[in-house]
Amino acid sequence: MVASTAWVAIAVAVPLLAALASLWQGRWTALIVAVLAIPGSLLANVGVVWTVFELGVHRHPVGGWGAPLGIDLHVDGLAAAFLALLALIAAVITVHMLVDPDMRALSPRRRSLFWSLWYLVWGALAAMFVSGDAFNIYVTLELATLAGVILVSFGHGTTALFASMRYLLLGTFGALSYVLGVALLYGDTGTLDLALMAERIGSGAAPVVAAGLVTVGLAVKAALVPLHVWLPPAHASAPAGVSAILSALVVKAGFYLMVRFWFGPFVQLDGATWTVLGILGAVGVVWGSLCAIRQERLKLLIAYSTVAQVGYLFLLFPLVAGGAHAAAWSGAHYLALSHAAAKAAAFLAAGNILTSQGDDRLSMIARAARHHHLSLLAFGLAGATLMGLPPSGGFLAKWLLVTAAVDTGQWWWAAVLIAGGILAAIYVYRVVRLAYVTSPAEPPGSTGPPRPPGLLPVPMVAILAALALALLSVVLGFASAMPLRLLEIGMPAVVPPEPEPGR
Amino acid sequence: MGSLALAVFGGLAWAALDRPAVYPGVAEIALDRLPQTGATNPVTAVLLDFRGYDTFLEVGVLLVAAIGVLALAGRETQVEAVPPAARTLVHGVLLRLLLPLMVLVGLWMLWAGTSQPGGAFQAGAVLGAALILMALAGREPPRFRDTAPVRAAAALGFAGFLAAALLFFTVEGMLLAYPPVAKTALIVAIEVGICLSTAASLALFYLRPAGPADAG
Amino acid sequence: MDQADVFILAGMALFAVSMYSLAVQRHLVRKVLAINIMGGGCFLVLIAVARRAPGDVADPVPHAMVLTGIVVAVSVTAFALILARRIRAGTGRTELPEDASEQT
Repeated sequence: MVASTAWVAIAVAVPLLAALASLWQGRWTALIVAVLAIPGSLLANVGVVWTVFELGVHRHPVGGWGAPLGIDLHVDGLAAAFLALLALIAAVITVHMLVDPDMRALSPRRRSLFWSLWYLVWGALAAMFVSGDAFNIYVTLELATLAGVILVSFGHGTTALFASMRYLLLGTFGALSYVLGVALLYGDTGTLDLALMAERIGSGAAPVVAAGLVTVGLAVKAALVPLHVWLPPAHASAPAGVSAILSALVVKAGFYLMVRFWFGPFVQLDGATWTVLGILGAVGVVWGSLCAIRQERLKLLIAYSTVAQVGYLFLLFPLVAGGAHAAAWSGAHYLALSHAAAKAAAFLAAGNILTSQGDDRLSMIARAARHHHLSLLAFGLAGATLMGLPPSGGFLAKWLLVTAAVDTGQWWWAAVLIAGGILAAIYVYRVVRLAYVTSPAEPPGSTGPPRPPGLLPVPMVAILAALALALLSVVLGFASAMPLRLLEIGMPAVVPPEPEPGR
Repeated sequence: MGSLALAVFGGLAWAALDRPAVYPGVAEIALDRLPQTGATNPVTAVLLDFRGYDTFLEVGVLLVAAIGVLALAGRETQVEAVPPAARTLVHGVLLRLLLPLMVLVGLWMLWAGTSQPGGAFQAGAVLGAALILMALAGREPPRFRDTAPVRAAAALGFAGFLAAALLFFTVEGMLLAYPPVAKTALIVAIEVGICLSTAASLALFYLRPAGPADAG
Repeated sequence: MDQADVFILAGMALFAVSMYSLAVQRHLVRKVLAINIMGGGCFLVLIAVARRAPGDVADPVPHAMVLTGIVVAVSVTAFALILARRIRAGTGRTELPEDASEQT
């Protein structure tokens, strides 16, 4: 089945080719590259999803060697779902950036460097989602992080430089912690392939410490409380499209890899850790939401909301340890996917507002809210998923998680989910109310007041891009049958150990 | 914080001394299959063949850093060469002797890499150092700009690897599957690309090209 | 305890020490140095693991991992130093602001 397992290789190669082509400084380069890369990538991803439905879990041995000597790409339903959503979201963000006035403000020289880094982040994430090899994951993680760090530095002013540096230092610490863990795992199992590692892993000190190192490293990347401090400044000061991809998918990659390890090699390790991960996640939900409620600036509010939303995902671990399996698995990953679409939409909408008035303080937005009604609508739709309102994708995901919690008698995790939803409602409402409460009444049928001085026009395409992603997060609530079926292909059947009593 | 670091070391040391009775690594398989690769040095075989995919992405990381340096290039960044008045014998004669030697050593390391320790990255490091030395001595000058040739040099390694990965994709149906007949030639070509990109990137890191007036 | 164990312990010690430095040092160049030493510790561990292979030839896979890791470390260091210079040129500061969320 050589032909069909090749789709995944194409899905990885297309953005990398686009990154190289973007280095050419031509007037039309960015447009031509996007026009070729977007359909190419979407097509390849359709191929990958189709192959997963047809063949189930499959592998692509790079170079033909196969594990343990070579590196295998490992494609299951989870990988295909993340890969496809990455292509979809990145494609919409690419369109947004093509028309974004902020991008046009860059000199052509720096703009072409920006595009190249953009496609490298895309390619690195694609490679990471399908990698079956622990060290290969490290390289993709560093590729995505370094390119992301540089993209953050493209933001406005010295704030962006500080944010970029903080992200770089903590991100590198995370990567090195991860790689030391992988070194110990190689010493213990003699392989870097995750599947083989899971078969061979021992029960001594090395695997336990390696699990700690890998988990800490990935928790930095996932911005799990208390290792989240780099996230809000970085995501708030980056250019709009960069904030969108960082919050939507780069942070999720940390969680995704955590799932790969804890449902792979580490599955038989101490069950108490699963609960600890859940507690940290719950703290993240509450802390991130409370911080979001206190923010005056829209982009910081959205960034803290990411800290909260990532927290929910980690409830997967204690829920599964407590006996809930399929529902928790589907719920957590569905939340990750819905949140990715919603968060990308929220950042693009915030970026449009920021571009228009050069300021994203809520008090300033209130003065011109009427001119941002479509952007605020996109934010509101995305907010439905953040809160978990029906019929959004976020609602469905949280429903699955709450069901999983209640069915297995773990009601306290359900309480976290519901409390988080209420807190999210507060910060979403703080923004959405701006659209209604402050503008003076207008006669019906009028085309709106003239634009106040100082407001720049935002291209309609940029506004529609934000709306499209917001709609995607809502549509995931209806059209859920196929993605849910996809997520269950290759779902790990192993049940982790119960924490021993008295531990 | 200090006690935390001590605790971490304690945990790490505890893990360090835990080892399986039989070494589980792939050393033997790698040596067994060495003849099937295009290299005779086991580390080179792992880098460019068995795990060539890692190396491909790693060259990508190097390219990302080079792009980042170009993107941050400000107006003021120009490396200071030793002023002519302060130049001594070292800058003249020694450099004249050293530079050809460094180029020679670099090329040798590149060539030897397939059979002995050495290889593209090491060779690139030596060549990059030669470029930096030249600039410091005020030899040439390295008013390195963000031009198409500079970008091409930085991207060459990644582009070459990607081309090799895709070239036989349609035939073999796999990424980085080199056909047996052309294996050694392909690996040498990839190595040359990596070597040049490494040299160019290292020189870029150090010399920090002055951006045109548009930088900022 | 054999030679490999000594190296592996040294690598672990470097990792722990540089983690401490990364946390307490304020100057950006010192933080970048700490990151580099931390990487050095990881590489030492990998080399020591390779030495545990039976026979005369060390396991080539950890060696290749170290080479990859070095190139990544060089890339990260290069960008970090240039970013630090840029920060100093722009703000005159060589340290990160205390408060992570400080917005200037």
